[in-house]
Amino acid sequence: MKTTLKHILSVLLFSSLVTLLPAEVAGQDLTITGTVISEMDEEPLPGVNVQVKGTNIGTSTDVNGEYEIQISDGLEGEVLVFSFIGYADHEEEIDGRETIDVALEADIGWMDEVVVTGYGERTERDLSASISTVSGEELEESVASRDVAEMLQGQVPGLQVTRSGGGTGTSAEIELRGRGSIGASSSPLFVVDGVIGTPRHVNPNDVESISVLKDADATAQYGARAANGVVLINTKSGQRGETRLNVNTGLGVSNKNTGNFSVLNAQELYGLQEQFRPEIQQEWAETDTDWQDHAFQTGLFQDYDVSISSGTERTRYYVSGGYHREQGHLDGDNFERITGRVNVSHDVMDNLEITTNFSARVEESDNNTFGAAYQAYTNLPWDDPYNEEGELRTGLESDWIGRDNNNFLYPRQYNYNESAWQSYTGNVRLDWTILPWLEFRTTNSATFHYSESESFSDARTPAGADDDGSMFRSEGLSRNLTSTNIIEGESTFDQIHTIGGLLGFEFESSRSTGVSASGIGAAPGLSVLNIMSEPDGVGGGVSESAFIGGFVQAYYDYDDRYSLNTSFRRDGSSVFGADNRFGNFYSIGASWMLSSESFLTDVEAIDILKLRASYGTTGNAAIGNYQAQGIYSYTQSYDGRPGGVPDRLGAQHLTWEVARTTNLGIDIALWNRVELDIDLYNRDNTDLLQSVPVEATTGFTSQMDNIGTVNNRGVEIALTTHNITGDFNWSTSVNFSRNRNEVTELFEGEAMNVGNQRIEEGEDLRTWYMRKWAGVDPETGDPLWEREILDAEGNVEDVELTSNRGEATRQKVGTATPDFTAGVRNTFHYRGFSLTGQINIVQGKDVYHSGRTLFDSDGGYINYNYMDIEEHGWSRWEEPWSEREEGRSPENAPDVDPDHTHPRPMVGGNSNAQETSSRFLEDGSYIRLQTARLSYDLPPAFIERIGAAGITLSVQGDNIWTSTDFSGMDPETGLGGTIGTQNPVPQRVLFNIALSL
Amino acid sequence: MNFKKLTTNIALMAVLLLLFSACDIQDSLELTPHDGVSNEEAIESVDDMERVTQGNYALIINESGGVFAWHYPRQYHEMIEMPGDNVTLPGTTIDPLFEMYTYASTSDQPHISNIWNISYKVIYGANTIIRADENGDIQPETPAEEDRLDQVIGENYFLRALMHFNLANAYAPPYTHGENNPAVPYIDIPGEQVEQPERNTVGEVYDRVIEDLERSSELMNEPKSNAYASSEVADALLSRVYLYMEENEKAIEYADRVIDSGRYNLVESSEYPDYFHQPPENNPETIFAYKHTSEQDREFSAIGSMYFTSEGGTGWGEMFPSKEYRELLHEDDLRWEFIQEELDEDGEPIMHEGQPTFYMTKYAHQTEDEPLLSSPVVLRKAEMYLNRAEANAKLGNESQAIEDVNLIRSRAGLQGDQLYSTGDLGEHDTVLDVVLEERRLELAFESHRSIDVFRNHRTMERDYPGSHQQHGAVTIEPDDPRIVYPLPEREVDLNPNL
Repeated sequence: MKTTLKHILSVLLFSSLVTLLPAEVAGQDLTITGTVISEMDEEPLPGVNVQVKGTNIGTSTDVNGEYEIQISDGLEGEVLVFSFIGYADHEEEIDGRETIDVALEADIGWMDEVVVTGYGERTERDLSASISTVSGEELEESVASRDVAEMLQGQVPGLQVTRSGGGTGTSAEIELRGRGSIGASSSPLFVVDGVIGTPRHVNPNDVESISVLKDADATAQYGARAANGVVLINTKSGQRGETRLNVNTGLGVSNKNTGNFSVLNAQELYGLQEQFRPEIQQEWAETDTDWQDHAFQTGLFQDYDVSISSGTERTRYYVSGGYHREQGHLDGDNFERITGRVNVSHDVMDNLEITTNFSARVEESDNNTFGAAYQAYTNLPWDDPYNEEGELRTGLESDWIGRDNNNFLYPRQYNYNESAWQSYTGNVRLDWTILPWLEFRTTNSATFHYSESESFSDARTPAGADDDGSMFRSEGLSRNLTSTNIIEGESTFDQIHTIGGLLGFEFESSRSTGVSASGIGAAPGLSVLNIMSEPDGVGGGVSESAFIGGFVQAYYDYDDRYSLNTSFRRDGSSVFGADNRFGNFYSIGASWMLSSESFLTDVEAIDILKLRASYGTTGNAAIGNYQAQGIYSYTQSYDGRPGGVPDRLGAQHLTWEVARTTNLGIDIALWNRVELDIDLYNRDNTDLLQSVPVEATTGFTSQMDNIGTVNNRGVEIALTTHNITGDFNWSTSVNFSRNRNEVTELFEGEAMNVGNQRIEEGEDLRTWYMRKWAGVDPETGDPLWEREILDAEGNVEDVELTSNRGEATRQKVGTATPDFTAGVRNTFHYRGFSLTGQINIVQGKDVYHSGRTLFDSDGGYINYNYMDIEEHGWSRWEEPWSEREEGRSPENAPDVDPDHTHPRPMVGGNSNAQETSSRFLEDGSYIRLQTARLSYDLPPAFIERIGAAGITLSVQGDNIWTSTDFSGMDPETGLGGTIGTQNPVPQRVLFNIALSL
Repeated sequence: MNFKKLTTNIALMAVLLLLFSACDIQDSLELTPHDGVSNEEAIESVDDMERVTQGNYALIINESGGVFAWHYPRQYHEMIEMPGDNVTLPGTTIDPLFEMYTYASTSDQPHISNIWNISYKVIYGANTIIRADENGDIQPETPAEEDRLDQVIGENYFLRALMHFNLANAYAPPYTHGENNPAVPYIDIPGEQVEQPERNTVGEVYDRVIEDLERSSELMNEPKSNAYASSEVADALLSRVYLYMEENEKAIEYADRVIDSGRYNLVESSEYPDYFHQPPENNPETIFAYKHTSEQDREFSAIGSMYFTSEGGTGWGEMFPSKEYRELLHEDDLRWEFIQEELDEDGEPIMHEGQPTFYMTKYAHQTEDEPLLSSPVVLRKAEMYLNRAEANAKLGNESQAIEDVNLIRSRAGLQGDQLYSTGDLGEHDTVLDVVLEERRLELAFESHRSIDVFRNHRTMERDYPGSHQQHGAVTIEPDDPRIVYPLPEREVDLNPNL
């Protein structure tokens, strides 16, 4: 009893994270020592994990491959497991021995790497599910970023990651296996150390591995919210053995990369406008300002990380701190982040482990660009930012020509716009091995987010002048509590039958609150709400959600050859209607290890041949809170009194969106050199949660409903080849994904227009729907669009051209979904050198370049600058076709001008030619050399002399080269495919030193 | 003590407990919003009705839609005023007012759907209250409460009529072009029951508007401030509706009711320049205005933003009073006070795309701090005189018509030969011409002009500088189809009956 109390006490002390208790353990009476070597070269293997099977008792080998492990009474008959990446697991019965030496056999490492799946860990060999993993090392070699999600770009087949800009605060958009949801979020679910989280909040240096769970079998345990896949991020933990200190310093510079895009200079703009603008003045062109020069700069990227990790017999820890700073290549765009993490696990008893992860991040961001990313392209070269005295102009001067009367440099002197975030996540997990075959696990977490944002407009600037200075501040606080409890058992009979299962329950509750206030009238130089002479507005809100789920899973494995996995779960979410909160989800998966069959074991070439199949359902509830409830909102007022405003009709029938996924996969490993995984999938997202447009005559313009089905089917191929092994080592990884998206069912079959896209049965979810541009009238220079003539049945009978945009017919003119995406990575190693290159390919995506409305408007906006169209082989209409050559007559003119792409320019634009049409829809395909990285590990002899364990120097380039026909700055757009004026993703060069002691 | 057994038991109990607690936790899924009331509970008393009615007014001024932060008062104003001849755009603009100004609106433009959406949302709000009353959901307990109920129902009839009437002005030809032209659906049932309604004719919409307004005028019993509807507000709108229908006696009858009610006075000439620079309730001439307080200071999205740039630089200030309008104003006319010429340090006009810069200030400076804050006037007493004058002119009561015109002109500081008599119509051929010109001068920029021209079968002549010149929008005949806005593309997509 005394022992028990002590154990309970140590649990309590430990949870409080005050101290790392070196627990005293009673009853040790056997010490085993030994050496672990590699069978291949008989060299000692450091860092091999040595563990008593079925317990948490373990250690790891030192630099000489030696280990020492103490085991307690009653364990002499147990088995020691030796495991090391790249080698097959080796098991030895202790059988009372005190010395156990082992030689490990090399293995097709990837098959036995531990894959973190749902709530547990399995080896690839056992998996019937479709899972891709990315290791921490692979992340290191990818594009430099503070956002883990962004670093996954091009690395995982089926995962489309895209950045919608190069601002320091921009987050990557992510989709797995195509867009399945319309109104609800189509992003995969992110889970950090077992708790739903945000990738952006994790320091990439802390990441041990990332698992991307794709099919229903893989996501079963997150089934309720896994309709769009799950990405698991696992952070590092301490290992038994010596203390390791890692210091990582990265420094880099970034520069704008505007690709194929440029705007006109003063003379060029004058040359263009004098053709059609009667009021133009020659002296304007005497000023030639390059606004991009004023907007952009060489940015600085800094990253410093320190981590320390170690482990004793019973306690393992990993502690890290990081500082990250980005001075954007857009002046005034800055970002700073401090992260900290403490991951500790401790064996309270031989069968009870407690793990505590605590992480914190503090971020600050300045957004003091004041429209620079827009004005850099639209401001006129004719306007000088400075007056004759060299002072900045406001843009309001009567001789300022540019349309927006803005000079972003002016407010930057006095105004600011800042945001900051803090988040803290604490996570306590208990692993209790109740019986050798039975384990209970509980994971409980609390996350707190605090956000603040403040902006100030000084009385000296146009934005604050009328108010005599104004400021706005908002603060938000949210908390999220989760608890996951699982009881899991696994047992093997007759050495070939393994049967296992788990039963679990989870609960989540979220609440966020916010408050905002603004005031006007500020004493110069001061900016805090308290000094504002008049309150201007106040706001605030509260939002809550809750979620519960129960699940059960069972699996059976026969002789590592056949395995079967089934699961069922039932979940409830507060966002749905009272009678429809709960949904049921299930999955079944099976795999067959063909290469273990007797008829294939003799085939030398085949190391692994495995077939996988799975089917299952998963859910999606990612819509706003309270959507099922019709309400009158009291957020608006009239005459200073609040009024109840009908906000939505309510939909009590609103319920889960369900994805039904079939997955077939094959895993092949040949000649110990080639690894090939192919997956075929078919996923139907049914009962789509969608904000359905309704006739405004009902009083509402949209209503949330479960409507329709979207199908995604496709193929994913991941191929890794070890082309050359040995001293010089070359390996290649290629991944390829082709996804076909189709809306298969809509409510009453009725198509819906959403912005410039159309959701229609039989079509891609991101189908562009706009007036179809035909070109330029050869005789008049007017724009031409297609007009469909319909017969009595409504079928298209004929197509004619019209210069009247109102008469033009909207048509399906392309999709924003790529035909395929691919990533190619080559890695070369020679002695300490290593060179990695990552190429990303996106093919067949139509991008709507909406920015051209502004800077390619044929006179629509005379006081905006124009883009250079000649670079793209385009030209403007100048004279009638019939007058361009002798002997032509207007009657013989072709329908569409063969020589020119752009209409005759005129003040105010030519017949709305700059308004939305397929004219600005472009091929956004690209091939990009995303990253190249050269690193060098200093030779061990040198390292040892200075007492370090390793030093790696590296240099890396990001966004190095792009091939594309796209006329804009960057073909990499958000998933929606629309691109306006952009702060494009920069080019970066980075230097990095990693030191480990 | 068998430790292993104990731990096993504890573990199993813990798991069972957690699983059972799931049943209790189900209640935690019952969450309701904090900033609203469920539809079922929203209207349960007269107090509730008053609050939701307040919300209906709020919708008119607050609800925004489309890509820009536009609001009903501004967009409706642009739809009526931009096609008129009181305004000129020297350059170009990315604001859709350009399409309205050049008669080039297409069905996918944001203002086209925004005005439609907001109108029907207000109509929905009004219908739910009217329906709750018709169903007898609310039983007043005291005579005082009964009066309040009547008032609030009356206000909702008024709002429903106003929204439909304005919709017809925007999306249908004038009543005088034919009662049977298609207009907009008249919705008087709650939204849940609305299913793909057809367009009512102009005549039907006007009939229903009159019906609602008359009922509204009868029901309302409280002389509320001019930020709200009251009996006289309904009468004033009826006068305008009848004028548009050329039911001239009726137009006069209702104008008289308002004029004789004693509630309103023309502001004095000396105060007239300040007419638009104060909160509406301080103005004895205003019958009804969309009241904006500091909370609704729209700055760059305010109506005034198009016409005016503050010293601090707020406002686009890109739309000027037209040269023709300026030339019609006599130099002594006080209405020059609403126009402000911009001069540089040397006293020279600041030129903008070849035109001198003139700001129009009817939508500016409701307070000193908020240069673009204004409460757009919907109905004011001067219009009642001009309604009566126009109706009288059409009925041949020439001297009565001239009398009202002279009243307005005197107030504008004009006297002597600047006033008219039946024998001296200045350069005008008919008394109606005199009345219409005065209406143009007095109610300029107050969302009347294009309607007044076309309902009188007159031609819009815009023979003055401005970018409309290059876009085929100089002379627009009353039968030009471009004078009617297209129905929103989005609505036609959703409702084939439109």
